[in-house]
Amino acid sequence: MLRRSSLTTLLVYLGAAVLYIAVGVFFIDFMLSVFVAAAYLLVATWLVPAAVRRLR
Amino acid sequence: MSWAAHDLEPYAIQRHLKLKVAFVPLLFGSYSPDLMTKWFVYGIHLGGIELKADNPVQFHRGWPGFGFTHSLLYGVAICLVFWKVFGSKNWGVSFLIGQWAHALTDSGDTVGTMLLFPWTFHFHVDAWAYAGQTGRITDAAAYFSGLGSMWDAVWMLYGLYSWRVLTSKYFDSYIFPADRFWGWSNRLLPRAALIALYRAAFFYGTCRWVAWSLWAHVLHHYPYDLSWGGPHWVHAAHP
Repeated sequence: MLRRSSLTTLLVYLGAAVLYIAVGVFFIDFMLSVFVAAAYLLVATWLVPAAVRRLR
Repeated sequence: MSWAAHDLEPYAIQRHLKLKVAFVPLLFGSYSPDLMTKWFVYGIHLGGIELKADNPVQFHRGWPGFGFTHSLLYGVAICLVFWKVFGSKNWGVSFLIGQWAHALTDSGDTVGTMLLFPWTFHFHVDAWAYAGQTGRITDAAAYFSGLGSMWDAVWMLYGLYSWRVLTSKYFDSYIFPADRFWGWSNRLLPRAALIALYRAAFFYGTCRWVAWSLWAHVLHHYPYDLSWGGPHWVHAAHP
């Protein structure tokens, strides 16, 4: 059974993946670089959640 | 040519070798053969000027050309530089494993790789068409319509089956202690950011496999051709 924090992390990554795929399908330049993907992942799974926690 | 396998294979290797490898050079080794060449294979436009290899196949995989980057000897040479010059056997061996995985995987297409360079014979399994010479878009459409994308899917599914390798617990137990790079990086970034960076290549490989497949078959209706050496609707290059 997943812990609540693990489930939250999984959902954040899944959400980030869905958005990345949706943008990538229509703007293929977005998915040409692993460095762009790493930067995107940092923003989506670390910076944004950290900002949300800070605002609460 | 492979699209997502080089992002995904390091996680499968990591699962089996645990503390015996450092992840960063493993991934760097997996990317290294194409790192400086792929842009010139596909070509880029700079201020109205197109920069592209006259013979992309020769440039990418041949000799004369940069085909030696896909040989086993290239991995050994860079391994020795890390080991004997920079004093890190762990980085050297990890790079070697990643680079060999890349060279062996790319022997699956119709051009293959000069695995035993300086012997310039191309080892090629011919499972999927090499179409890099057609440009990035056609290459993507062809690759994600043939067996190459199925080979990527094997690594993606194996990675998902090995999901524990992506957990923060695994990162703390094996990735962080195996390589001082992470300790040094931890001075600049918190652990949560380092874990995201560790997972980035898997995220990238998996997401772009899905996205390119959707682009090729939902948005543009390129036909699947999973026959050996396919897709046959594209001109496959040979050595």
